[in-house]
Amino acid sequence: MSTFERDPQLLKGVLPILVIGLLGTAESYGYELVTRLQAAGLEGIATGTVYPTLSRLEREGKLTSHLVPSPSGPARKYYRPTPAGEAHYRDALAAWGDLGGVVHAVAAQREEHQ
Amino acid sequence: MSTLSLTDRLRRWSYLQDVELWLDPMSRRRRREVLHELRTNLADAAADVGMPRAIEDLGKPRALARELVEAEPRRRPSWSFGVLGAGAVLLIAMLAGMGYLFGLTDGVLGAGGGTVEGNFLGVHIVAVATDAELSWSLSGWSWPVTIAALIGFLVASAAWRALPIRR
Repeated sequence: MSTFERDPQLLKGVLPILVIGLLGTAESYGYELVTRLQAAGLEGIATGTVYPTLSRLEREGKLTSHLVPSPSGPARKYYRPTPAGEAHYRDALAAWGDLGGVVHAVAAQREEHQ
Repeated sequence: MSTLSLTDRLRRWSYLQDVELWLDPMSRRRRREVLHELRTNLADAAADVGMPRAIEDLGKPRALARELVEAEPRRRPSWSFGVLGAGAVLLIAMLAGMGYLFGLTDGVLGAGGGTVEGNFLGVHIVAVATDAELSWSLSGWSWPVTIAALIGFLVASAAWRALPIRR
């Protein structure tokens, strides 16, 4: 578990990648996805951050959804990535890796300098 | 999903009422979909962490609604805010008109009573204030107030969002 506070803007930027990544493994409804994100390490993630992201990705055509009747309540909306969402995920992951590489390179230079 | 208590249902209803108010720029159909999903997710979260915490995690209704509205492909005019805007202009005009009317009446009473005529933003006013009678009659139509109310409606509703986007 990390002890530092995460930058909300950074999290907002990376959240779509995490959402598509997790939904690519198994489709989920809103709250289930929140618990999966928490289990993946984002313990403090708020539901109020995740639901608009789901909504945005769906409107952008990166996710698709379908209703599944629930035995003990109203139907739940399950999401999964579309081919466009998968393509976006691959591109975003590559861009993230590239950026991470730059950060590590700068950090390594600094280590050497010190 | 467990059955919610009456208190939890009331908490959820109250929260979603607030969210719905700020979701006004969405279409009715889309708003219903979003609220249905929030309702279901709140019930799921409440079964896990309790309704107060589930609501707290969603954040302030206005902030959540803003994020949800921004996720829409295009923002729509908010006609109910438009009605509120026009209503505010009409209320201000009415209060100002009443102030003018009472001032006019007070003036004529101060001069010993009689009949006086005046004009307030296009409305002709006749005030009669004597020992036996106190009456007002209004005639005409106030175009300045009508135009101000229309502008209030257009601005508050962000009516320009209804215009087609030129690409």
